[in-house]
Amino acid sequence: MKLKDFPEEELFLQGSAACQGCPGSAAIRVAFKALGRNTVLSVIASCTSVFQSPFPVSALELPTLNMAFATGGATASGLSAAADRLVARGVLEEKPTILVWAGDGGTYDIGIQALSGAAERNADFIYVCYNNEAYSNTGTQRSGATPYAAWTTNTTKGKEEWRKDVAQIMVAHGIPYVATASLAYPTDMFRKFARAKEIKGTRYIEIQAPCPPGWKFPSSHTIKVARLAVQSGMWMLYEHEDGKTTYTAGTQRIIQGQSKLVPVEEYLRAQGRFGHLFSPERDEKRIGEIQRRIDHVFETLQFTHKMKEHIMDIEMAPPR
Amino acid sequence: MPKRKKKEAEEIGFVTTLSVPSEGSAGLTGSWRVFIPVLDGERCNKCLLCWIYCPEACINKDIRINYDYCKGCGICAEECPRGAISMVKEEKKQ
Repeated sequence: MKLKDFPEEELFLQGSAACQGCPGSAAIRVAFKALGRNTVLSVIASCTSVFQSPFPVSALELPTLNMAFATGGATASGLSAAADRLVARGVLEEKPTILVWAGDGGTYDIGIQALSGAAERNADFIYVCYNNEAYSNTGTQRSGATPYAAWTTNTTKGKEEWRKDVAQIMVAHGIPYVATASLAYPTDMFRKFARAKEIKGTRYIEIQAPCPPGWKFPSSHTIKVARLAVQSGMWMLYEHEDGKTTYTAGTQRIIQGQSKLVPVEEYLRAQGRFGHLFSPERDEKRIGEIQRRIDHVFETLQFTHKMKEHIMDIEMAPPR
Repeated sequence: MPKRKKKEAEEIGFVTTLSVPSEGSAGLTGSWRVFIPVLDGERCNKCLLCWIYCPEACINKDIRINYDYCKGCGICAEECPRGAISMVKEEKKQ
């Protein structure tokens, strides 16, 4: 799907209360374009609540429930069951897509229990986590998604632990569809949402959302930082379906050797939250540690890709 | 209070706790702006990247910028591959 084929209809209304250069509203626009008008939304407490609920107005054109942190999976299961009944009674012609829109706090830390339960029941909804790697709404506190060495208000010298990977936890649940997306690749994100819409069952999509005030970079660099994250390997784009993981867009190009991995230093330097790694003096140890982890992951993936191609060559060769 | 909410109050006699979707839910957000995006129509080849990247949906598909609500974040100028959008310091309104 090309950009010019995207629907023109805006279900996100301009003049919202979001910050300048907000990744949350940029992501929600693409998601709404892919899912269309027949969608019911459950917004979990996050930055989206800010522009969704300045009573008596809202910036979202779709029917929306404004919910508490821990309720993502539970409300969606309920909405889905109710929609099923309405379809069975003939009140609704077509079942609406149930969409949960949560931040990383509501997914990684507080909401994971409800999400895990709903995923195990394989309730029929799409769960979206837009991951800005901290509790940005309340002023950038550390969350389970904050990466190693990043500054937050309660990890002032850099976080000491590595972040957990909820997308992989969802893969382990064995749900029908798991995908990760990036703001810098809107066609890839649109395709993943359109694919998720076709499938029945629990679907999980995670979008990396670089937050200008939280990550300390100018508001114009939101997309640039998102792109650097993919190019440097700090964020991987893939989709997981039928027990098979396919890497897409920028990540696929790196694995297939069409483009090179950008040094992670470029990504770290673009943000003020990693500033303590470079001044007053360069912290070789921590930068090296991050780079080593990325290199290890990509070396393995590139090796597997080469092996697969090699095996394909053998299979395709004519028998002697 | 938005028009739809007023109508609701008149029709049923009280205001419900439901929010109504409305443009400009945070007011005329154009007043947040320090730098204003200016489009050079000759350089633009309508690749639509600014349209999809704009977090505020202020650029429509014909590449017209809505200055009432544009917050001046500068993503369109940063991402334009042909440099057709430039950020200019906004002059004070009298």
